[in-house]
Amino acid sequence: MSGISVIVTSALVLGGLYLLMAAGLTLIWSTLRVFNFGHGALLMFGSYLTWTLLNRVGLPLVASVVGAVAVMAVIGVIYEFLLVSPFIRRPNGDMLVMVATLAATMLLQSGAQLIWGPEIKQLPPFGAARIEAAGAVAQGTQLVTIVLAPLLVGALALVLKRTSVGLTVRALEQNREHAQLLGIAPRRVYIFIVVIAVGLATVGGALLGSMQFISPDMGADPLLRAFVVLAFGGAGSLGGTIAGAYAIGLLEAFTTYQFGLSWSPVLVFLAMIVIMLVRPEGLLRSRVRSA
Amino acid sequence: MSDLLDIHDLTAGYGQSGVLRGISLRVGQTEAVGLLGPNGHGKTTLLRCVSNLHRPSSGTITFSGRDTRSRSARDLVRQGLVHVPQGSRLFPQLTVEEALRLAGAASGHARTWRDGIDQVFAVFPKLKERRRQLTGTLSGGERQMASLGMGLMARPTLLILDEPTLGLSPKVKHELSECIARVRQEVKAIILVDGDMELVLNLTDRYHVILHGDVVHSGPSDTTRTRDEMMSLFLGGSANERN
Repeated sequence: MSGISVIVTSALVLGGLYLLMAAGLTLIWSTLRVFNFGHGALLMFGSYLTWTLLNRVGLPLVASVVGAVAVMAVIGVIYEFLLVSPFIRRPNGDMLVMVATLAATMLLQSGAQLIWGPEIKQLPPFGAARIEAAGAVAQGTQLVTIVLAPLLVGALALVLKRTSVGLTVRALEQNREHAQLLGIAPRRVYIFIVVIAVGLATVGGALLGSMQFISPDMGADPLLRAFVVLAFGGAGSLGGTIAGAYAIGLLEAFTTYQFGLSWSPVLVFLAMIVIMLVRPEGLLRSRVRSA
Repeated sequence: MSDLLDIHDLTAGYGQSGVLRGISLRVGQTEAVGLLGPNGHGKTTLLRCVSNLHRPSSGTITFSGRDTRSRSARDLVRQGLVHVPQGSRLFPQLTVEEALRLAGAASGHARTWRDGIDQVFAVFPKLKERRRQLTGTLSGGERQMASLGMGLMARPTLLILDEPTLGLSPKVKHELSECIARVRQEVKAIILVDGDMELVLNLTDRYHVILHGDVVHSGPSDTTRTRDEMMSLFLGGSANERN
């Protein structure tokens, strides 16, 4: 009994973290048709920024996260200006953008090393709330992750579904050229998407930085998991991504509990390979949406 | 009065292959102009240049007295130059009403899209029945109506219709041509490209035939003589032989 509740708690925490990463990646994928390799590094940068605002500027923890999201939003705009828009309209532009985001990863990682130095840092827990249920304990940052991640991504899904901005984003996803002919400026939508995605990654970075150490390569693992989530849920669908994030979280929690930490990544990727073979369009998608 | 659209000595292509070879063409303020000619001779490329989806290599395009090249596709739409593209899949996951609302908002009529939608439903009663249906589930004819309706939502002064009846059955084609005639009443100027020559000649004031990226023949759309000339140009025979 306690085993199950421990697994469920762990799955909700991991799923929440992967969701914050993967939701942004999915949005970028569905509108720009590129995989943003820089997403893990952006998460890491957001984590460091939160640390600086907390420890060097002296803001409270929550204000530090909000501040980091604001700064990272600006960095997101710069990111779009430098890495996306110069390349995206060229022949093979999506490939160029992906290579550019890979380069950004290295730049951000080395930059973090230079700015913040080699010593390892960590954020304090988010609150001291503690819930004990059926033998499992969730407290502080874990609890915040369990609640906040689905809340933020749920709000995003609602914005996409209900508002005119969301309508514009969905239109661009479904038919870029016709959307342009209607008078939609793709650039504005791209900037909006990148800012949202970077903001979510920053929140993820702050939460992760409180549960483990902050280091320049802390984003690599979440990026890899988010990639599996995208494959799992069918890249481009937010609903599929939500389901995928928690499915991967559950799988990882279960395999870690059952077979140990060293086996779980192997089994997660094995599951991905099986799913790619059996349902290449993703678990929840009934058909592939063409570009 | 100056022309609404003035295309002068335009060349364009894809990579090494030239498609348009110094084509010139005008559309008057309240004129419906038809473009005829076989596929692959530059009609669609010409239209894509006009609405700034494709960059010409040389030449000028003037709309309402201003060069279009300095303006984005978005600005052109907002100034009344609206392009209904060929064979669009539309937005499969949006409903007809969402797509129309989007077209209104994207062209700068966010506040008055409801009036626009009423006008569109008056022209296309069928769209009103289908308003809650996803555009991905519409029939070919209904999809074209939705596409035209989205064009109307932008309140165009010049409406560009690229192959609106492509792939439709004769019955649906007839229905759609009646719709286009109603659209004609709502819009000042139209450029109509279609494979159905009769339909183009019936709905326009003037026509141009485009072959190998240039205008090879032009005239008023209304005479039988025109039709005979056109037939011989296209088919190497007369209209009577075709029937």
